[in-house]
Amino acid sequence: MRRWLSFLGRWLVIFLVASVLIFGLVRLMPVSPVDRWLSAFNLPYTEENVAYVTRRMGLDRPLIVQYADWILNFLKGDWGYSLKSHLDIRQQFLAKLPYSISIGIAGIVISAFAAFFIGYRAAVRRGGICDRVSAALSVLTQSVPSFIVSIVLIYFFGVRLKLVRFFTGNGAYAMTAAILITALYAVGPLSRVVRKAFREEMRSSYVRFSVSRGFSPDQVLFFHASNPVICRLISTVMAEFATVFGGSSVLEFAFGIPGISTFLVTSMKNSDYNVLESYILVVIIWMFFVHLLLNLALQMIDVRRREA
Amino acid sequence: MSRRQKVMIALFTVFVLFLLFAPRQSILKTDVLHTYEGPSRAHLLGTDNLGRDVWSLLLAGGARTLEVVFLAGGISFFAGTTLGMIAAFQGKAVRGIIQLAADFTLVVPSFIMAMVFSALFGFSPAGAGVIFGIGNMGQYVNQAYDLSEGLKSREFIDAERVVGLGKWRLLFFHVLPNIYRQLLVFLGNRAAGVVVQYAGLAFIGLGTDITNPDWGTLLYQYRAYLTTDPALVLYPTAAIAVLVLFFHFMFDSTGGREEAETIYD
Amino acid sequence: MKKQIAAVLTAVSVAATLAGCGSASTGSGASVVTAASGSETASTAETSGDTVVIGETSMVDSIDPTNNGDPWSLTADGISETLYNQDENGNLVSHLAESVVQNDALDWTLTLKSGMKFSDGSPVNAQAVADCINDIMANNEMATASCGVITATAQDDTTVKLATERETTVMESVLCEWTNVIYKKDSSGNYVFTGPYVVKSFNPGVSMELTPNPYYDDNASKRPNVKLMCFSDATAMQQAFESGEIDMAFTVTPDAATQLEGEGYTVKEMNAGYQYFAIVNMQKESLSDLKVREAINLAMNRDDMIKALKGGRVATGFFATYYPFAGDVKETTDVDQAKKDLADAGYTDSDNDGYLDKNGEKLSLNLVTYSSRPDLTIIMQLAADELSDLGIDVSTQIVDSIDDTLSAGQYDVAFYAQHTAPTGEPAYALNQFFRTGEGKNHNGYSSDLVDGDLDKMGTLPAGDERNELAKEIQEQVYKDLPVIYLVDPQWHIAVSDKLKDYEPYCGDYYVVNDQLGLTNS
Repeated sequence: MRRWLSFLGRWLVIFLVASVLIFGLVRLMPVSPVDRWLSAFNLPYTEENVAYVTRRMGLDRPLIVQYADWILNFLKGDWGYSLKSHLDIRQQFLAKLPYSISIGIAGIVISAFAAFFIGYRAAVRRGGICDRVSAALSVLTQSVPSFIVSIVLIYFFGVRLKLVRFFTGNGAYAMTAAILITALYAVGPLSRVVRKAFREEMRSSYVRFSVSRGFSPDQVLFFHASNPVICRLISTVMAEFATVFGGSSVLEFAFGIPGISTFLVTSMKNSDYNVLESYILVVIIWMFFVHLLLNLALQMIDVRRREA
Repeated sequence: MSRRQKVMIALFTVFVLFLLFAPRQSILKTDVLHTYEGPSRAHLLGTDNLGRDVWSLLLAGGARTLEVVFLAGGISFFAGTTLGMIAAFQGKAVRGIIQLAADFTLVVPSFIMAMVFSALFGFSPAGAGVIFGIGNMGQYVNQAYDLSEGLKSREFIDAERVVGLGKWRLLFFHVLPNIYRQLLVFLGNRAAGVVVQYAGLAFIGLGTDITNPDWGTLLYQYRAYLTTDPALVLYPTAAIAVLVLFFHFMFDSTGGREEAETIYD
Repeated sequence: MKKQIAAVLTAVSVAATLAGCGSASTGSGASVVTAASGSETASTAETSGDTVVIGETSMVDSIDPTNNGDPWSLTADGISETLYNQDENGNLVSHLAESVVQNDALDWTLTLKSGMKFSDGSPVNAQAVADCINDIMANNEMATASCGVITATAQDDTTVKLATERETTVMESVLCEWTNVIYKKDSSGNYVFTGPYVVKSFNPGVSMELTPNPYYDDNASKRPNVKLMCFSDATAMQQAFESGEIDMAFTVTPDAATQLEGEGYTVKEMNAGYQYFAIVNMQKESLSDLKVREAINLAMNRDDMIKALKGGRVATGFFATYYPFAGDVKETTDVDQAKKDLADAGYTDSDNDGYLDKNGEKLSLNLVTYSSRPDLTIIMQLAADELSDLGIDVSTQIVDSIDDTLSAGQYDVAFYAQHTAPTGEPAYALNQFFRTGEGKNHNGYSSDLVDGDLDKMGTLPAGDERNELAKEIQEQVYKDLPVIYLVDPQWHIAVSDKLKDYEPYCGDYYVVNDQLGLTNS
C-alpha cells in the first residue's frame, strides 16, 4: 500500500513539475503566437491588430492567473481551444489519440511477444538463426532510421506495385505498416534482453537441478524459468514506451497518419502553444498509465511466483 | 581494454578527425547548371538538386552531428554520474530529489522535448545536444547510483571515510575510478541512440535551415529523389550507419568476449 | 519451430485487431461534422458519379467564416464566395452582384442579381447580404482595414446601400477581400454559403468531403463530388499521387514536378500571384549606400533562380505579369558591374582575407528567410552563393516568423513572398510596403514621389490612370531598391487524367473552382 502511495505521489510531482516547466518554456519563446498569426494571414503588423489578437487569445492577463486557469481547467477536462482553429483541444486529442496509442501499444505488444520467443530460441541455440537474426536486427535498426524504411516501403508497395493504398481509404494499411515498423524496431533490442535474461537463468541452480532430474531442458527453461525473464522484459518495455512515443511521430509524419504527433508538429509550426501544453500533459498521463499497468503486472507475476 | 577495442577507438578517432578536418568546398556554393551529377574529381560524391557538393554537405552534417553527440554524451555522463554518486553518498532527502529528477527525465520522452524545444527556440545542434543530454541523464544517474551503492560496502571506501577524506575527494578520486568503465559502455550505447534521434529531429524539420545541413535534413530533402537519384539518399544513410556502428562496437562489452558456457551448450 | 510460427501469427492478428479498433474508434470518435445539407443535395450527390480526391498541404480549420483565416480557405475550397472574385485574367467578376456604383465619397449602391440562392435554397436577397456584411464588420476587425466599418442596409429585394467609414474608390476590390464572404446561418445554426460546393462531412485537419451545390448554376449535376485530404508532408502527398490515390496534388515542389512529368503524369503550371522579392535593411550602414544595394541587385541571377525553381518569370515589378498594373522593369545580371559598384562604394579586400572591407570592417550580410515557403530557401541558397562570389561574407538563417524578424530589424537581406494583389488591386500592397511608416515598410523607406503617387491613387477609380501610377511607383522602387524584385513564380500542381482540363489560377485562392471536373466538351 505504501509503495503505491509513494508511486502516486511521485507521479503527482512529475505532473506538476512538467506543467510548470512547459508553461514557463512556452512563455519564454521568442516568437509570440500573435505575431505568427498576423504574418500567416498577411495582415499588417499594427498596434491595434496586435492588441486585438492578444485580447482575443486571452494573453493580456497576468501569468499566474493564466497558469492557474489553465491547469485547473485541464483537470476539469476543459483543455481550451486551439489558438489557430478555435476548436476544442480535448476533442481533437481524443480523435487523434487512438492512432498514436494503437501504434505504440500494438507495436510494443507484438515486439514483446516476438522478442520473447526469438530471445528464448536465441538463448537455447547459441549461434542459431534466431541468435544471428536478432543480433543483426538490433544493430541494423539502430543504425538505419525508421523513416528511411517507411519511405522505401511506401514506394515499393504503394507507388511501384500499387498493391496498397496507404493514404486514402480507412487508413488501415498505413496503421498496420506503422505498427509493424515500430515492432520491427523494438524487437531486436528486446529479444537481446530476453536472450540475456534466459542465459542468466540457465546458470541458476534450480534449472540445473530440474534438468539433472531428467526434465527436458527446453521445457524447464520455457515453463519454469520464464517468470523472471518476463519481469525483465516488462521493465525494459516500460522504458521503451517513452521512446516509442517519440519514434511514432516520425512514422505518423511519413505515412500521413493523423495522430497526435502529426497534430503537434502542425500546431508547433503555428506556435499554437495551447496544443503544445496539453500535449506534454497528455504524454505524462499516458506514461503514468503505462507504468501503473506494467507495475501491476510485475507485482502479479511476482505474487504468483512466490505462491508457486 | 581488448585489442579489438583499441583498434576501434583508433579508427573512430581517425573518422572524427576526418569529419572535422577533411578538405571540403563551401557548402554555400550552388550551381544550377551542374545538378544531380555523379561522382567526379571536382565532386567526390557528385552534386545535388542545387548543384551543391554532396561530399562537403556530408562532412558539414557530420561535424554538427558530432557536436550534438559530444554535448549530449558529456552532459549526461558528467552530470548524471555526479548526481548518481551524490545520491548514493548523501542523505535521504537529497537522494529523493535526485531520483525524482531522474525519473522525470526517464518518463518525458527526450525526443519530444527536443522537438518542443526546437519549435519554441529554433533548431540548433547545441540546443538539441543539451536536451538529449538532460533527457538521457536519468539512466546515468540510476546506473551510477547502483554502482556506487555496490561500492559502499567495500572495505576501502569505509576505510577512507574513517580517514576523513572530504566528500568530493572521495567521490571523484575513489568512487569514480571504480565505476567509470561500466558507465563508458553505457555511454557508447546511448551515443548511438543520440545520432539516430538527432537525425529524426532534423528529418521532421521544425526550424531547420537547409543551407546548414544535417544528415537528417539532407535525407528530408533528398528522399524525394529516392527513385531518380538513390545515391543521394544512400550517402546520408550510410554516414549515419557508420557513426552508429562505431559507437556500437567501440564500447560493446560482450562483442569480443566469450560467454560463459551453460548446460544448454 | 511450429510454436514460433504460431506465436508470430498470434502476434500479427493481435496487431491487426488493435489497428482495427484504432481506426474504428477514431471513425466514430472523431469530430466528424455532417453539415446540414438538404435532401436534394444528397440525391444530386448520388447521381453525379465518382469523386475527385485533392491533396493539400494545409487544411481549413473550421467551417466558420468568422474564424481567423478560415474564410480564405473556405473560398479556396469552393465552399464560399466573396461578392466579387478574380477570374483567371485577374479581372473582378461577380456571380452574385450586378454592379456596385459610387454615389458619393462614402456611399455606394450594390445591386444583386435576382434569383441567386444559398446552398440550402434560400434566396441571396438584399437583406441576407446586408446582414452578412454587418455581421462580418462586427466580428472581424481585419475586415475593416481598407475603408473602416461598412454599414449595409437593404433598400429593396436586390439593392443594398453601403456606407463606409473612410473613402475608397475601388469597392469591387474591397468586396473581394478574403474576409468578406457571403454566408448566413440556417435554421439549425449551421453556416451556409454560395460557393459551387457544400460540405458533406468534415474531419478537422484530416479530410473534408464536398458535394456540388445544387443551387449554384445549371452545371451542378455535372460536377463531381470532391474529397480534400490534408498531407502534412509534401513527399507523402507526392507518393499518394503516384500511387493513384489522389487526383490532384496541390502543390508539388519544382523537383517533384519535373520528376512526375518525366514519369508521364500531367503537371500544370499556374501563375502564383505571389511575388518573390528581397527586402533590404537600409538602416544598416553598409546597405544604406545605394551603390551597395545596386551591386546586390546586379549580382542576383534570376535566370538561375527560375532554372532551380523549374518555372516562373523574371520579375518585372511588384505584381504578377498578367495584371494590367504590373511593372515594366528590366532586371539584368552583371557581376562585373556589381564588383565595380562595390569598389566605387569603397569596398576592397585590403587585408587579403578573401572578403571585401572598408575602414577595417568586413562587408558581412545576414540573409534571412522563413520555412513555410520552401521556394524561398532555394532562392536564398542561390543568392548566398552569388553574394559570396562578390567577396561578401554571407551567413544564412531560417526563421519561423519572418515579420517578427523584420520588425525587429534582425536581418540584412530578407527573402519574402506575398500575394501582392489578392483583390486584383495594386494600391493595398504598394501602400503596405512602400509608403513612409506603413505596416510592412520595415526598412524605413521614404520617397516623396512614391507617397505622392499613392495619395493620387487613393482618389482615382480603377483604370489606366491608376495603373500608370502603380507602374511609376514600381519604377521608383527599382531605382531606390528598398526591395529587390526577384521572381514572378509559377507553381506546379499534378493532376490525374480525370482533371486534365482543370486550369488553376490565382495561387492558392481558388483551388476548387466552379470549372473543376467539368470537361470542356
